[in-house]
Amino acid sequence: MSIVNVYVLVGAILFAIGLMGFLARRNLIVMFLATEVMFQGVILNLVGFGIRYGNLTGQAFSLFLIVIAAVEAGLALGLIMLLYRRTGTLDAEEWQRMKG
Amino acid sequence: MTPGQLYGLYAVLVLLAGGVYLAMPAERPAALHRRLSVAGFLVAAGGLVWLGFYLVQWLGAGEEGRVFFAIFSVLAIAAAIRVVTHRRPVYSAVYLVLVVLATTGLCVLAAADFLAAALVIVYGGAILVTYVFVIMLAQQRGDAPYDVYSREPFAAVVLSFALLAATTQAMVSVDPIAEHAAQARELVHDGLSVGRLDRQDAGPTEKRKDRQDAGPTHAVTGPTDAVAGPTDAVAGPTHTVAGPTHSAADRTPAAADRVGTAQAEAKELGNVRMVGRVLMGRYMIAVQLAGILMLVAMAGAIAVARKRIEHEYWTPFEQSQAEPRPRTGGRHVEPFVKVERREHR
Repeated sequence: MSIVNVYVLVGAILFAIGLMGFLARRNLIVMFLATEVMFQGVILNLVGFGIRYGNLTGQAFSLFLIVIAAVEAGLALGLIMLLYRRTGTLDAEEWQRMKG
Repeated sequence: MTPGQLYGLYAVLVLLAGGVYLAMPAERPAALHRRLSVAGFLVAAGGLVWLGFYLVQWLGAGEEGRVFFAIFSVLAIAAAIRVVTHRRPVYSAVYLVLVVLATTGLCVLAAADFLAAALVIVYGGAILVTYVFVIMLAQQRGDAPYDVYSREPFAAVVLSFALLAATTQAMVSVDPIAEHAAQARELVHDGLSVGRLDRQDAGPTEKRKDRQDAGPTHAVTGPTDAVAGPTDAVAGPTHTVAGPTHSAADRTPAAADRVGTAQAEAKELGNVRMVGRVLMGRYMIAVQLAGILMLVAMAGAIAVARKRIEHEYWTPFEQSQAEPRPRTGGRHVEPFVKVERREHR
């Protein structure tokens, strides 16, 4: 068990906790906060693999991941605001039955 | 890693899962829920303390700062549990800031200074502030029902921790399929590489641009660090390696010289410059694509936020929110501003 295993393990645990929050919570915003937790797990994973392979590819990829996370947060929150304006609630169950 | 430790790790994961399940918002009477969630937090805290001891133990006596690994890891996981189980979204966002800070600490321990700073600035300073603003814009009075109840928490907990257990198992034990694949890869690469490619070492470096694809494929099926002890001991400050590999596989003197000078150069330049070199050198196209992606997303977000819906398509909620236009009959009337006081609890 080396340092890389620690990073990968903690990354996996964070990912699982984020996944669990995403599946179980009903508030749309908290669901997206859980995806941000998943992103943190992935970042730790990448840093661990960067240590393992001895180069900076992991860190570069993490930077791109931060870009993607920011972009996704912006768009997701815009869409959430649209949905909130429609129904007045942030409940994900409100949209369970999709009207075609 | 001994089987006893592996089962201990599984026990830690089960404790975490149980704690999180008990702490999730659920349809229970309030007093019972409060007691159960406190019990859940205690169980999860016990699991986390156990995990902290395991981390300190596994890192061995060679790492000086191993206590900090344990502290930051435990902090990150505890804050992540709170993000996911808290009833109020604002607190979830604040605990997410704590997760980001703990991740930043772990990045600093890995000598990833630029990444740590970028995480704090971009995540803590921009993304989470945006989240808090949107939460404030879209809030309900008091506790909304969708914050108090969760959807099938038991299934969610079981499924995600099953995934976690599978990932942990794949990480810590060596399975025969992965070993076979690693041996097959060794045969392929034997003729191509400078030194022999051992199982625990690296593929791509910045100098060997032609063999870049060799590296990442190693990462997928993990032949693990069962023999990884020597690897981390070779390069003294293990984590300050920037460009070249620090494996024991480059045994030719020329390669060893190259590794030594590259490491010295990396230490002299520092992490930020090395990351800059990597980004602008190897990943230039990716940087440009990321820029274009951000531009497109920004345009998309503005388009989404500005969307106007015609009157006849308004839902009943939107109709209730619309202000009735005052009939002035030609006179100019000062607009009467209605200040609404909302009770925040």
